[in-house]
Amino acid sequence: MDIRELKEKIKDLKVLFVDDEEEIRQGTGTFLKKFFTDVTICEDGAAGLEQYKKTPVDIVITDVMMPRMNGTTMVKEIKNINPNVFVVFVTAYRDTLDDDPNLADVDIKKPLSYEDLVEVLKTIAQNYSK
Amino acid sequence: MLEDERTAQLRSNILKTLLVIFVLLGLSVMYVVNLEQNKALDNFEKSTHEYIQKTAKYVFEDITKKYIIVAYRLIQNQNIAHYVHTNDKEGLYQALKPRFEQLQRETKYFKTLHFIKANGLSFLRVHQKDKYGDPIINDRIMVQEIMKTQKTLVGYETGKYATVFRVLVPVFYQGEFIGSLGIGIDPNYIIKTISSIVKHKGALFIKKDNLKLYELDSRFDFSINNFELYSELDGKNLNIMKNLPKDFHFDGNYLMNYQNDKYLLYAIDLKNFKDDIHGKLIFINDITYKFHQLKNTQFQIALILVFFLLVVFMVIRFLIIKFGNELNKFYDSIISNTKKSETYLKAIEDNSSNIIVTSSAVEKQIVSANKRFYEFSGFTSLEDFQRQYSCICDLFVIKEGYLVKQMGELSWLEYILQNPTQIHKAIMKKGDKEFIFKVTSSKIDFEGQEMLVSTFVDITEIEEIKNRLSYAINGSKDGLWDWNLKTNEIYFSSRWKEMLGFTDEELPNSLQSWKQRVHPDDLEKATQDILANQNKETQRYENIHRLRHKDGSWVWILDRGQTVFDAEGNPERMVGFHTDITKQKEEEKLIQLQARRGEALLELPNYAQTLDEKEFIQKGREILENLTKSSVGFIYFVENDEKSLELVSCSSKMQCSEEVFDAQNKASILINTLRLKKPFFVNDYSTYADKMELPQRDIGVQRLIGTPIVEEGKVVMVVGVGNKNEDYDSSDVETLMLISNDLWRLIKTKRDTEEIKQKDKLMVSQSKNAAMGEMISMIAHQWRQPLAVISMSANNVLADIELDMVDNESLKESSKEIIYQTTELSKTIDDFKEFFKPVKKSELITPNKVFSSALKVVGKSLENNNVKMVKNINTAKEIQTYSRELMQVFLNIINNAKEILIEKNVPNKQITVTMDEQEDHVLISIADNAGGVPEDIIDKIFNPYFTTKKELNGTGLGLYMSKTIVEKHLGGMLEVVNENGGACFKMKLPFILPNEKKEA
Repeated sequence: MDIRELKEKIKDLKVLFVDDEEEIRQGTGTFLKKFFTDVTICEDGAAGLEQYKKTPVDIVITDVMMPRMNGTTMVKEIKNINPNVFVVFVTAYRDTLDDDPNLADVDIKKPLSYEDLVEVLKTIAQNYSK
Repeated sequence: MLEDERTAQLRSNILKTLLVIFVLLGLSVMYVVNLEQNKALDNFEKSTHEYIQKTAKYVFEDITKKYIIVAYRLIQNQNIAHYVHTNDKEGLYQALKPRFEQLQRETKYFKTLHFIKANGLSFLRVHQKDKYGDPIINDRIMVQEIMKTQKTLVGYETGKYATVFRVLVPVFYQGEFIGSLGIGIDPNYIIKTISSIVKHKGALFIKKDNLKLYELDSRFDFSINNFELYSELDGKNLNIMKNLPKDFHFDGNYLMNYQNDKYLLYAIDLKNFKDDIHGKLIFINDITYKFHQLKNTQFQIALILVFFLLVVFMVIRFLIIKFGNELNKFYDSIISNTKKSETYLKAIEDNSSNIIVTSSAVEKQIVSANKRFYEFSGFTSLEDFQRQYSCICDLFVIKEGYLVKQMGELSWLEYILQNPTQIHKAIMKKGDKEFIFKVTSSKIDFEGQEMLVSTFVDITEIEEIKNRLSYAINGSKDGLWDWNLKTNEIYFSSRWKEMLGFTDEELPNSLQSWKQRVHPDDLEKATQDILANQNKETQRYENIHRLRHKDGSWVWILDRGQTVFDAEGNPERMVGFHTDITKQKEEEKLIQLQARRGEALLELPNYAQTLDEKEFIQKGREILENLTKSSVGFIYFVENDEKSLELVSCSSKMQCSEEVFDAQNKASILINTLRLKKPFFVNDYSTYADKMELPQRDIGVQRLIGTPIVEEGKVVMVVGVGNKNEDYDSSDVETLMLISNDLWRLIKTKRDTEEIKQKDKLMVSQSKNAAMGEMISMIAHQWRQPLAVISMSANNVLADIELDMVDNESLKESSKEIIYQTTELSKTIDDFKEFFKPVKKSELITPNKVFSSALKVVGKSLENNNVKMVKNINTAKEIQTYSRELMQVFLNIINNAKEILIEKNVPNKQITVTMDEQEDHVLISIADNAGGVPEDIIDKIFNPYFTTKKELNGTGLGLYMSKTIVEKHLGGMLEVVNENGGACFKMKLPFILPNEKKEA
């Protein structure tokens, strides 16, 4: 699948990206904005949950280890509101996800490679083309 | 009338009778006087002869003594032996010449000084230097004799050229007879000397037999009855001689008339060295005057007789009464002349310090005694004495070994006379004190009566000294030796010999007895020391040497002595004592050995530390060889089966092989030791194998000692040394056992230490690995973000390319971002590099600064895990410490806290560090809020390999290493307590490091 076709398929999906690192937010945000038209960025779990409650999204991409509220807690709360939300965990440590393996649709490991990212986008495209 | 007639008749009768009596008396008086005169003359002859004989005897003795001494001094002072030994005739001549000339100046009768070599050839005549090399031995029996006996000879001898009084003294060089020195004195010297004393002219006659050798003509050509005149004699006396009868007997005294004068001739024997008569001395005494004197006496007596008769006739009655007394007086006056000599003798007797007693030969009764006798006995006179006693022997104290009145069958006087060679002693008391006397008796003919003259010499003091000396010598622990350097005779006390295991009789009194028994290693030094003392180089002689005991062992002797010098400063004798110091020497040796053992025992641990096992055992063997003075040695390990041997160390000289000491090979005596589990020593190894009925092995081993090291009943090691210079004894075995056991102990300790070292090494590497893992994880934390940013920047560029959205601006931005992040990465690397940089030196730094450095490394990890770090720093004290190590401890504790916090997923994870200053240290506590350490393991968390962590990096060494660092390197203290809902690590760090404190 051409990357441009991929972009066409997913560009209208709303995305919430949560990470406590400023530079990650910037870099990854820039990348996401190339594919998605509507990308909201928050700095931690609590802020992300607040944002979701205000403006619900289709896709949540989040870091796990964060101050105030970590990624998993936030995702659980969001899933309480909308269990069908598509979740991507961006982790450094696998074990933080052990308690609920089905919590995320996809999880990828830092640092993010281009292939990983394209794969995630493809999964999203497949998920929403059904 | 009748009365008158009768009276007249009676008177005439009396007168007739008286006349007859007077005539008879007169005749008998004349006879008696004549008899007494003859007797007096006879006495005179006898006493004069005796006087001459005595004088001659003294003169002979004097000359003998004098020239023996002269000869000895010449030998000693002029070093004759040396010149003869080196055959230096000229040297000897120059050495003797001044003395010879001096002796000749003293008396012109000093004729010859002659050295004759041991081969009987003349070596040097100082009086006739050019004549030498001629054989003397053929003609001169004295020379023959001295070559046989090597003893000093004295006597008259006639050679080819002269008759002399000769003194011949043997000369030795280093104990070997090398010849004799002869001195010849002209016999006229003796005649002259005697003549000057007795005032009579003398002549020398030599027996014709003895003149056979004489080559020169007799000067006077006069001989009589086998004797030939051999001296200067004036004409008158020569004529007197010529008037002697042809059978003149040359014996005793002889009265002769010559030209109306009367002469008495006295003969004195001249003897050769064998005491045979060689010649005669004749002294001529003109007694004409004496005869006249006697005649005068006769005339005086006749006058007195006439006067006496007249007086008697006039006072007849009184005369008759006093006749006896007057006669006595008369007699006395007649013999007063002869009494003179008796008074003279009496004076000598009285002046003697000895008791002299004369007894009658028959009755043995005391007839006279000298002054000393009365002084000693306390009697005032002979009569006083005779009132109580008749014999001096009545005063003798009866004691075994001393004279008593009756000696068996014989009286004491007869006993003395019959045993003239024996020394007789008697004890007499003065008050309570006993005095010892040496008693001599001789028979003399006194006025026709046989008398016995006894002399009592007081030897009490000598006896006491003798006893004391004998006690001192034989009672002493020391053995005495007394060496006459002139005769080379030596005396050893019985104690001296006893020290060497001999009885007095078993060992002869000769220098060889000593010399042959001195240890060959000691002889040279001892001889040197002795000579040094004789040469006055040392004040005292002192030497320690070994002497061979009768049983073959060595006796250590401390020999001390001193040389006695004669008036001229020549060594005369040397006296000294032997002290047996074997025991002290052995003790000394033992102490030395113990000291050396101690040294070895102190040395060994050092070697054990610095050398590897094989080198150490090698060293141990060398030390053992050294200690036991052995030249070879070996050490074997014994396997668990107690049969197989492993050669560990062997001296190159020995050629040990596994085969030789193979347990199956019964030839080795070492195997016996192994089996018997006992040390052994063999001092005759070469025959030992035969004795044990074993085949001959180990060629080249003479002596061997060995010991097994037994542990828990099993032999684990066998150690041996061999070929000492002397026999091994138990002290060597002791040394071997002592050192070997310590050797084994140290080998074991060394092995244990090696094991611990290996363990420690492992632990260090493990803890290093763990630390590395932690570091990597920390680096991962630090790098995660920059890496993520870099990768995202690259991803963005790629996405732009794929989406055809590339523009310069966004590319530039992404590149800048990547470059920025890489500098972040390299900064992190620098931080960690700093941490790993080894810093050996301590530095002055605040603990907070070290802690901050630690946070730089671990901070991100804490942040990533939501762990809050709270700091309560209450001190800015700079302490002297190793900051790198302290940082490692901080990191370790923080990481532990972080991990437990994550593991327990504690909400509000927090680590609190507090620093306070106390007295001489800083107290640092690092506390978490993870609930604390379970009580059942709190005591174990500092143990190595203890861990509760399930993750990969949990080696269980982190806290062990931390405690080690704080307590051993930083001189502080680290402990853990549970407080405020968590574990709290409390650390005390001193201001100054303990080892630096010492330096300060």
